[in-house]
Amino acid sequence: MRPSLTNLVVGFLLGTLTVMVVGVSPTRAAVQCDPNGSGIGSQLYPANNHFGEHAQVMTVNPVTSCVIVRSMYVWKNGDNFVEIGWYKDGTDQSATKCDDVTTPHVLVYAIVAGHIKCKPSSPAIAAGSWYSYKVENPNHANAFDYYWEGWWQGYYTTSFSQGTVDSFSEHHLSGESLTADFNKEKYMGSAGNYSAWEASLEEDTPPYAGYIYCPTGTDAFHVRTLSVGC
Amino acid sequence: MHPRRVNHKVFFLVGISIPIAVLGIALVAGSSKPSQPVVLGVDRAIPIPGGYRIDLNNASAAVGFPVPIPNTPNASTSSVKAVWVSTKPSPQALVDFSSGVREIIYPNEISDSFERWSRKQIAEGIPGRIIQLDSVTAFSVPQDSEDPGSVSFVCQGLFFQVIGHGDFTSKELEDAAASIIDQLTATV
Repeated sequence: MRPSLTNLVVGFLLGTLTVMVVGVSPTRAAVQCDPNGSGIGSQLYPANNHFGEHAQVMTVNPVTSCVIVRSMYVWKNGDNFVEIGWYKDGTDQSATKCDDVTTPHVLVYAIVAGHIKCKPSSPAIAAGSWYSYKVENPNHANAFDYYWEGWWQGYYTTSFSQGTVDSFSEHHLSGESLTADFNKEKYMGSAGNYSAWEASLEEDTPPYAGYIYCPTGTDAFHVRTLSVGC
Repeated sequence: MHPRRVNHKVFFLVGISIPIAVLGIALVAGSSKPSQPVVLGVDRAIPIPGGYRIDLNNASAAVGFPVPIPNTPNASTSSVKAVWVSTKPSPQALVDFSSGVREIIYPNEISDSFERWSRKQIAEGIPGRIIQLDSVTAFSVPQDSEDPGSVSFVCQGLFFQVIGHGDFTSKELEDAAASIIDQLTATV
């Protein structure tokens, strides 16, 4: 074998080895994030004539590969809803339709006819803290106003004025954190006043393997791992 | 510099570069691929709150308003996949077709004129356009990697949405919407 050809082969083998090492490195492994998400939460069921929702939500900051969300909705259907709470991206999730944020930020979000609206540059919030959120349409128009800690975050025009209220702990990769704390949940009725959810808290639909829904009163719930329990 | 030594280095570098270049091209190609849209909501098994599945023939009686079915290649009576309704206290109907087209109907809750509502949607970033379908004003949003595409309109006090949960042109969705309008106006 000619020396130059030998060097070519040695170089090729070394390069291939480098690619193999880089390719199998855990930090480069592809994560298949579920675009739809899943989780566990509560829904004021079956009434669908609510004009707003309020809750306090604990902020946590777990390590995740995909986006996680702790939020509440007023939803008309799966293609039309408003949503407020907090979210963070994962380490391998760069596209969320909103901002690429790797620490908890306020989520101001809506879907109209399947089209996503999301406020960028929303406030960063501190892990380990409770914050209050509210999304409401007291005028029964089609503009829902969003509030974080009483501060107005803007509004979105929707195709509906009322819907069903829902609070949800959401992840986009099975096994990633669903730990959550929701407190002081209230819904806005047709008269514009807020009422506690009373005894209507219900679990949402699976999958939420490894986690358990824990109602802790008439207007609050936790989500904990099965090993910790309620 | 000795030519032979140069030759050795060149061949070595060429050899080591081939697989690394292949990796680089793969990474660049991967990063330029459109990202899978991530929806920060949950695609629930039941698409309307408090909803339940019902036979198409019984849907209208359950919600108390017409549930017209388009007659187009992508959406017709023969291609109805599932019909969902919720009835209390605010009725709603949702029809999924096997093509991926979805039709949503509920009593109109838009307090503005429909054209003004459409202009607000445009102002809030939805890349739609206002069109006329058989003299009914409609709002048509084209499909792209981040949007399923839709046609919305109000007719006879009802709000309609035709949403393209699949691969559809704006014209295909607009044809389905026009077919619904034809049926509604034909019964007046």
